[in-house]
Formats: sequence, structure tokens, C-alpha cells
Amino acid sequence: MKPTYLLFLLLGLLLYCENISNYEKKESLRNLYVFLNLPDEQKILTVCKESETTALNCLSGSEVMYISILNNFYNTTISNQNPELYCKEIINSQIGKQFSYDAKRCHFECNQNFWSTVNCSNTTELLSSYSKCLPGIWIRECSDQNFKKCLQNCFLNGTPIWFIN
Amino acid sequence: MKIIKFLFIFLFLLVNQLLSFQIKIQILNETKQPQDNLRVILIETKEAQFTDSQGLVEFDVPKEGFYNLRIILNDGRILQPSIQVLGKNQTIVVYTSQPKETPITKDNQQIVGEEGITIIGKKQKQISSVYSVKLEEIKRIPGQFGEALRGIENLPGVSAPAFGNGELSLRGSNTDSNAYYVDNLPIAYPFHLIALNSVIQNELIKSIDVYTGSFPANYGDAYGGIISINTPDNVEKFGGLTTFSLWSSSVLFQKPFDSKTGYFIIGARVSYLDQTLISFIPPNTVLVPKYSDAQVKYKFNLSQTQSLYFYLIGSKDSFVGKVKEKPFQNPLEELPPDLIGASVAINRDFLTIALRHSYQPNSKFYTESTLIQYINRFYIDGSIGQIKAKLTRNKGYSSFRNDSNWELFKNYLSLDFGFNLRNRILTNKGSTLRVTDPLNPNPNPYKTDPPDFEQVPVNDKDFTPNHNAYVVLNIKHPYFEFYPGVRYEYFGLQKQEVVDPRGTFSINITKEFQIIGGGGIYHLLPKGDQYSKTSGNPYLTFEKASHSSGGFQYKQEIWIFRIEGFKQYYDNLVVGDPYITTPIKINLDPIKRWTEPILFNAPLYFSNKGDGFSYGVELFIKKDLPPKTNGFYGWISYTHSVSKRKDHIHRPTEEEKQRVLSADEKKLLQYYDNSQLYSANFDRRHIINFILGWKINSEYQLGTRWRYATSPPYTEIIGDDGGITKNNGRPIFQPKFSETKNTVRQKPYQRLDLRLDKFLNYEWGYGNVYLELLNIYIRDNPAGFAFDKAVPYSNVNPTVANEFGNLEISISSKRRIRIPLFNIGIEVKF
Repeated sequence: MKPTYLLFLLLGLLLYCENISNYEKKESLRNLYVFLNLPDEQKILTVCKESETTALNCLSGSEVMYISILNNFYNTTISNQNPELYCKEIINSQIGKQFSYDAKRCHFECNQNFWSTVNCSNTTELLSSYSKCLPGIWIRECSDQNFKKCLQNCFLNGTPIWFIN
Repeated sequence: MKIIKFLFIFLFLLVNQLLSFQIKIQILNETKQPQDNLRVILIETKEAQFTDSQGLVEFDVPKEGFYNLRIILNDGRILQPSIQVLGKNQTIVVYTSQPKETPITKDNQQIVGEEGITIIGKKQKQISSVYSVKLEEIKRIPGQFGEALRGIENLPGVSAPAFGNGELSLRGSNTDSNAYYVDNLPIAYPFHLIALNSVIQNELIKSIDVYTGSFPANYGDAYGGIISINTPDNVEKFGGLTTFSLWSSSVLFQKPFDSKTGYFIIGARVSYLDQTLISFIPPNTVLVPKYSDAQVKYKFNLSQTQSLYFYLIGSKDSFVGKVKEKPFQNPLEELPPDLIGASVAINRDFLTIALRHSYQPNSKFYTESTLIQYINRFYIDGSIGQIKAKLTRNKGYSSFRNDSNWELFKNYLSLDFGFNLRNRILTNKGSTLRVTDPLNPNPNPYKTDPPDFEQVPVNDKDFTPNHNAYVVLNIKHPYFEFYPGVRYEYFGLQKQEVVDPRGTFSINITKEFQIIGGGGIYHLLPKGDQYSKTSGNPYLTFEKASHSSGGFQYKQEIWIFRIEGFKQYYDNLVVGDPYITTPIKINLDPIKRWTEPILFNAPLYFSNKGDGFSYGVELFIKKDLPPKTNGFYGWISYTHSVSKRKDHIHRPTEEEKQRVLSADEKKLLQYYDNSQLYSANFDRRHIINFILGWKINSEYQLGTRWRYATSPPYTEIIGDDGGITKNNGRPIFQPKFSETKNTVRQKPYQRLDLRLDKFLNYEWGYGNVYLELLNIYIRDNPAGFAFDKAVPYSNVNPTVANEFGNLEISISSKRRIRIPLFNIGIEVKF
């Protein structure tokens, strides 16, 4: 047998030895997709503005109470009702800094989902529900099942990326 | 005082017996063939014995001189020759008739027609990385409660905890990476749940080959080592053995068929320690441990070239434990607060049934085919704190296996080859528990916010092909031997295939001196609960190890001196992984599945991220005792071993702990590997075993064992959790462990054990009474740290937990003394 054939035979044997499942490759690809989709500050500002605009639209007439809840929770001094102006203050507050960009995205997206799906007529009850689902305290106190489910999906399960599998 | 008197009488009898000496009588017929199973009586001492297959019997005589024998022949005739004894160890040959000058057939041949056939196959060939011990060498080692299988724990390269359950670390590989085989048939576990007895009776063990590494391609289902138990393949006469101890009794019968066409061996053991040790059970506690085992081997010679074997090997363990929720009369006796109210019921058993056909048409070819049904069942129903689990698991396989040997060039080249077509079975039903954070060294079953455990419903029913095949070439030359081989494994769940090249060699520098070495690649399938589709990760791949070893051996007639160094790498080890998920999974929760039938990003709990290495040196000096002789035998084994592991699982940093992350971000942390290399849990750097046996005469035998081992590493306890959880008002202080794993070691382990055997020889067999004294110099041997969860962490909590190695007895109302742990055993062979 020529040495070249022997070399090919050994090479083939070695390659055959490690014929592992490609699950790991797929998992890496999925995680790369997650990584590329992580938000930056600009994206968070956009999400925040959209979320806050939806909330304020729903709470027409009760905006002051809403801003007061935000100030109490984030320990901020928001005086206006313009998300363009106060979102940056929320994001950079001491409380806000305890959350990563993607964690903030979770909250703003779930907030938006909450305010866009509820019946906006009973604002007192809505504000009560909302204040129980604020960042950090939702795990124990949040009683709105849709709101809680949304947060659980984002904080415990993550983005489902099933199309690559 | 009674014990001292007893020892005094024992020593007196011993000294008296030392004055006598042993002689051997060999009975041959007129063609000089040994005559077995003849009754021989030494009239002066009234001692009676039966001759063995060599026609030999041994007698003790008080002094030189003339003695009279009575020999009862098989045809009923009685011979009464006189013999002259000249000195000790003399062998006197007695002929039943006038001898003729005819050649004696070799022991290892049988005659078929006109051709002699050498028995081939089933022989252990390699020298490197294997230690072979015979039953007689390990059966009477002190300190193992008469269990021969425990004797392998004294061999080089073996790291085993005292009173362990047979989970050995061989050359620093994981304790669950070895496989036990009995005549190439699998057994699920070597020792019962209460590890006082093995699941295989001593008399069913002829010899054991312990491959501490570099094992040949015909062995699989392991990447650490192989413990291959060989059973007797010959029964000459009807006989049996029965044993009695405080916790169990066993009985074994063996009988050749009258037509000499085969034999059967049947044995069973049953425990009763739930009755005999009931007074040791703490108050308010229910403990019911029970176990039993049974073995059957049946051989039927179909012809002179074909045999049929039937095997049944089974074992069953059950354990019920419950701590009642009611106050203890003496509060100091109260058990740890987390155990109050806890209960568990465990059943486990295995059954291996096999039908084997062996065929050897000539000297060049041997083949055996085996149908195997192997099942290992496990049931648990338990609760502690907030958690409950109830699970029934069956695993095992049905297989058709063939092993063959073909001699291509006589004495130079032969081929071992075989395959195993098997269907692996895994059924799981119920609910199991998974820790939510596998990095948590001490998950708390009472914690609810968030819980440390997750109850996971399981429902697996998998029948998966798991085939393998192997080829080993045996190349022999006067100057060297080389055994290259290759093994192929296939597992159907993910259609995984692996090919493992392996080999060992020996180079004969002189007749006695050999350079030896070996190595190869080894793969092991993850465990059933790890690759479970419903409660584990079905994408797991084979765990892998690469072995290499080298050294030399010097072997004279009865002496062996061997040094061997080794280095092993481990890859794809299964570890608990808090990050790994699957994108889609069907929800098996019987209630939640109706509202949420599909789970996204469901945890898989395990991954193949672990790796590690081990290296070290083994030294073995052994002196054999020739059969039927008195004198000293034993061995010294020394192992230096370093075994490290790394799980490649990200540990959250302080900064990450302060920051709230989304699930996506947490998942990505897995790519930032900040894990540290740590010493494996079973890593003992130095282990020395000194085994010395002294066969004084046919009535007495003395054995001693001294063991030294460095402590395994422990993770330091640095505080407690402040007693944040409570059990019915009792605070539970959970220990808080250091972030750096396995950095603390305790003082070394040392133990000296003695065993004295007294044999009572009768016409029908013998009785064997033995006394074992464990930990003669009453050393406090550390066995880890004990943390009292009823009180906070302090200078005196945790304390060093000492091994149970001695007894305390009261000699007056105020004084208690410690004495070595002792054990008395009885064995009757007929």
C-alpha cells in the first residue's frame, strides 16, 4: 500500500471518529442571532418612547398620576409629559442602571403590550395593576396574568428562535 | 474482660498450632493420572480430606515419623498404605495400582478424535494496565467483611472510599465511567444499597481482571476502566457454601451432572439487617433497608466442541426511610431540621439473563454467541421540604452478541472480533427533580422564592439501537507482543457513530523484564436520565477519554514488580448546565400542557461542556503463593494520581449579579467561560495499600492490611444563609460554600486491619470462622465535614466528621473506652 493511500485512510478514519450531532452548531447560530439583535441605547430610547406614548394615550386625563408613579419608582424628577424628554431620565436613573439594555427592552415592550391591550376606561385600576408590575417587583406582586406572562417570557424564557432548528 | 479472655484463648490455640507442619499426599492411578474426589483419612490425627483435581490433599502432622492412611477408592476398595514423613512441605505420591510408563496429557488440552485442542478464547492477554487477582488472594483481605469483590480496591490505580459502594475512580477517571462484567455480562451495580455485601457471591468469582485504563477494544460502555469478573468454568463434585453474618446469609450449591456433560451453580443471599440492627435506629425514625441477590450458572456440553450456558444474575434493594414530625424526647437527639418530616422509598433491582453457545471446532477457531436481556429498574417516591418526586425508570438492553477468536498463524498471529447488536431500552414515568442552578453547591429544598428545585414531568419510552463491533489483532513474537484494535459504536437517538482505535504492547528485554504500554480512545454513552427526551438533553454526545500509559514489569516465578505511568484526557463530559436550552419542546406537564402545549427555549439541564485530565504513577510489588503451599503472600500497591476537571460553565460575576439581565443576555453569558480548573471530588494524590497474608497451615491463616490515602478535596464552608428557611418553625441554616471548589483537604486516611481465619476440616468439607479487627490503632480518620443545620456557622460548626471505624463500650458508669471495630464471620463449605 502506498503511503499516500495510508495517509488518506488515516485521515478518513479520524474524520469518521468524530461524527458528532450538529445541534451545537445550530445552537451557536441561534445565539449569534440573539447577540446581533441585542439593543443599544438608541434602540432602547425608541422602545421607551413608543411604550410611554402608548401609556399616556391610554391614560388620557390621568397622566399626572402615572408620572408620579414613575417618579416614585425611578426616584426621578420628571415634570413634563413628553416621552421624548423623560425617557432618557428613566433609562439613566439609579434604578434604571440596575437593568441591562435588553432587560429594559423587556419592560418597555411588556408595558406597551399592557397599555395597548387593556380597556383604558378604568385608569385607577390600571395604574394599580401597572404599579405592581414595575421592574424588579413584578416577580412577587404582578397580578395581571398577561403582563406577568410577557415578563416571564422575556426574563425567564427568552426569544424563541425556532426557525433554524 | 471477655474480649481479652477470648483473644488470649485464641492466641494460645494459634501458638499451639504453629508447632505442627503440613505435608501433601498425591493420589495417582496406574497411568499416573491424578485421582480426584477420593476420600483420604490420616488415621493418627483422624483428619479426613477429599483429593482435588490434581489428586492432592494436605494434612497437618505434629512431627516426623510413620503414619497410616486410609484411601477409599471410587469402586469401593479401601487402601491402607503407611507413609514416612521426613519434614515439612513434603509431597508423598501414592499409587492406587502398580504404575505404568505412559505420558500424561497436558492440563490445557482435551482429546477430540486424534487431535488435541488447546482451549483458546476468553483469555486476558495484555499486560499493560491490567491487574489480575484470584479469589484466594482477595477473599481473606482484612476489613472487607468477607467480600472478595472489595479486594480490588487495594490494587494500584484504584481510588475508593472506605466502605464505599463500589464506585471506583480508576486512574483518576470519573467514578461512574467504569463497567462491571461477569463473564462478559453486564451488572448494574457491584454492591447493594447498604454496601455491606456485593451482588456477586465470593464462590462465583474465580478471578477478576481490573483494567485501570487502556482496556482492549472488546470492552465498551466505559471510558474509565473495566472490572471483569470471571466465574468458575469447572465443577468437579457436588458442594456448596453457606455464610452467616449479622446482616445477611447466603447459600450456594454447585453440582456436576452425573453424565459429566456439564454442571450448575446456584446461589442466593438475603439480608435481615432491618431486624438485627433495629436497636441502632434513632428515635422517631423509620429505616427499613432490605436486599437480596441470586445467581445461576448452568453449563451443558452439547458435544466435545459445543457448549450451552445459561446465566441469571439478579439483585434487588429496597429502602424505606421516614423521620416522623413529632418532638423528640431528648432535644439533643433531634435529627437535622431539614430531615424532620422527610420520607423516601427506593426500590432498585437488576436482572441479567443470558443464553450462550460456545463452539470450538478446532485449535484455530473459537466462537461464542450470547442472547442477553439486561434490565435495571429504579423507583423513588420521596418528599423533603417543598419538593416531591415520584419516578419509575427502566433501562437496559436486549442484545445478540458474538465474540470470536481466529488463529491465523499459530503462536504468532490471531484475531479477536465480535459484535453486539442491541436495542437500548429507556422508560421513565413520573416526575423528577432538577436543580434550577447546577452551580449551586447546596440547593435548599425548603426555598420557594425562587425555588432551588424544579419538578420536571418525565415520560420516556425509547427503544434505541446501540450497536457495536470490534476487531483486535494479537501479534506475538518472542521479542514483543502487540495488540492493536478498533471499536465501533453506534447510538440511534441522534445517529451518533464513534470509532475508537486502541492498543497495548509489551517488549521482552529479557525473559523476566518487559517494557509495557498502551493507549487509545474510549467513548461512553451518557446516562438515560441525562439524554432523556423529556427531562434531559437528547442532543448529548458520547463522553470521551484518551488514555496513554507506559512502564515496565519484572516478573519472576512468584514475584511481580511493575511501574506504570499514565496520562488521560477527558472530553465532552456531561455537566449540569443552567444555560443550555432547546428552541421548541412539547410540554409534558399533565396540567399545563393544555394551556401551553409548546415550550420555547425550554431548559435541557445537561451539556457536554466538561473536560479534564489525570496523570500519575502506579507501583505494584506482588508475591504469589503457589497452590497448596503455606507461607507468606501479598502485595504493596502505591498510586500517585492527580485528577482535574473543568466544567466550562460561566459563573456570574459580582457585577453581573448586581445587574438584571434578560433571558437572552443570560444565555449569551455561556460564551464567556470564566470557569476554573478544580481537583476532582475523588482526587487522592497518594494511596498506599500493604496486603500481607500468612497461610500458617491448613487450619490457620492470618492477614493484615494497612491503607494510607490522602484526603479527597472539599469545598470550604465559609458561612451560612442566616437561617432564612424554616421547617415547621425550626430554622434551617444552610451552609454557604466558597466560590473556589475543592480546595480544602483533611488529614490523611490511615487504617490497619487484621483478620484471623480458623479452618475446621471435616470429611464433608470445612468450616471457616474468622475474626476481623478494623482500625487497630483506633485512628480518627476524617470522612468530610459535618455541618449542623440546626445552629449557625461558627468556630465549632462545621466539624470534622470521622469515619465509623471503631466502637465505644462502657466499662463503668462513667468511663467509656474505644476498641477496634470487629466482625466475626462464619463460612461453611461442603
